[in-house]
Amino acid sequence: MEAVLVERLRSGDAHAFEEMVVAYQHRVFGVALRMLGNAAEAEDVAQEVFLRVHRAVAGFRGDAKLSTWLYAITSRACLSRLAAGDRRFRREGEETLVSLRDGEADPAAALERSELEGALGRAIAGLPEERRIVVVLRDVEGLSYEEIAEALALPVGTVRSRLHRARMDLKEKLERFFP
Amino acid sequence: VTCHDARELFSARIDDALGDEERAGLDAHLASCPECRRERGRFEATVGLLRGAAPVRAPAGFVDRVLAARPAPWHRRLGRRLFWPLPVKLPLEAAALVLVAVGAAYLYERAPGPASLARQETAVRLQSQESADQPAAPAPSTLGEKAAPAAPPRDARLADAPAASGAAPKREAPPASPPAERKEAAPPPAAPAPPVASAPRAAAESEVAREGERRDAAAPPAPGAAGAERQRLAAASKAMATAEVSGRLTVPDRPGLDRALAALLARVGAAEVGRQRDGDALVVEIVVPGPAYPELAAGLAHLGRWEPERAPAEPLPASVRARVRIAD
Repeated sequence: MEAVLVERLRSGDAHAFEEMVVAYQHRVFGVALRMLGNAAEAEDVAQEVFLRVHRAVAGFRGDAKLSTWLYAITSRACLSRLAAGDRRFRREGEETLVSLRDGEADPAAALERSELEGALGRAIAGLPEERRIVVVLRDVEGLSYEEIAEALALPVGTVRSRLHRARMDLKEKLERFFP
Repeated sequence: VTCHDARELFSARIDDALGDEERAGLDAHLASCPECRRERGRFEATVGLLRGAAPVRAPAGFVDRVLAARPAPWHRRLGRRLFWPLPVKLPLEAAALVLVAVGAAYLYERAPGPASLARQETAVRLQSQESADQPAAPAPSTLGEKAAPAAPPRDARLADAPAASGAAPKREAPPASPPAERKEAAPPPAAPAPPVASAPRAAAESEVAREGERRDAAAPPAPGAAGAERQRLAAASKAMATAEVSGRLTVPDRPGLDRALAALLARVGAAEVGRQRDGDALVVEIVVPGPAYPELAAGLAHLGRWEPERAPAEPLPASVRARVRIAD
């Protein structure tokens, strides 16, 4: 399925490009939002990612999965933005960055849940960028160690250690919510 | 396994990336260390929170905005450029018009006027007369130079001549023959003649005729008096430069003729420019400088019985083209 889509993209099929944007828009935008902490900037980067793909897809050899390639471009774009000193956008309300599934009907539980979501958002935003991208790709987007290593052009061992450090950081910031 | 070592394995344990030995060591430590068990619980809860985060959705209209920002194909970009809005296009078109007008005015100023053209024609007439008097060093005329690029290539014209007359194509064309004369002289299909070596002297002398021919071909048939005058001048120039002679040579020793004829031509400074068979006879075309024609005729008379059918008129022109029909 993905191979067919890639082949159509490489042949310049305009509908294939639209299908790809529809299929991957939320994932690309989600990574950008959790990395940058600003919805407008995340949309800006996500749009830039798809336009880069549009320009470069003719040369895409298909060695990697299309999704891994997209995550790689998105990660690089986000890290470049964060590395640039003159960011036009500032982080905004990290507490809105994460929402947990299965909302509670009980008002007290809902309040606690809302606090937890805010704390998680702030904790993710407070991670160093190279750890943040690894934990987002692994625990939020569900990529394997190998896919992350390929997307970030890192050894698997580095991915493993950065992921562990990121999870430990988050645990320490969220300890008060756990018994 | 220490507490520190055990906690370093939490991530790999969650991702099921531990080997059997490591997992057994970790499990044994956790069974005996309540603090690490608590830590492991907090760690797994944290990862559980991350994995439980609801997926983010891109804002409404995101796809449309991406598609709109996508660069259009080249043909659409070209179309947009052709149909620029008037406020952009009008000044550009006005500037282009001004440029064209200035260029046209400049070219008009540089082009020769009627008086200048008349002067050039006079120069051509004088040039033609000088060419007849001094055949070895013809100076190119202004008109000839200007019109030369418009004339068809000489080789192409020569190649066309036999085809037009229905004859077999010749391998080499005589350099001093104008196209009309070549058509008359074109023989019926015959065996190809051997390649002809053009003598430098003959080539230089025939340059006069070539110049006249080139000028004739270069000048387009202009309507009116100017065109007629130009044609008359060209014809006169051509007549002055070359004369045509033919004759019959009957030889007793046909096999030895070639060597004797070659020696004669070399002696008088003539060049053989064509050769073809006509039945039993052999027709050889020779170009000889006008002053040397009497010597050629005398030499031919020595080779056999020479019966000229058409002799050149006095005074002798710059070059003479002799068509010698040789028979036993």
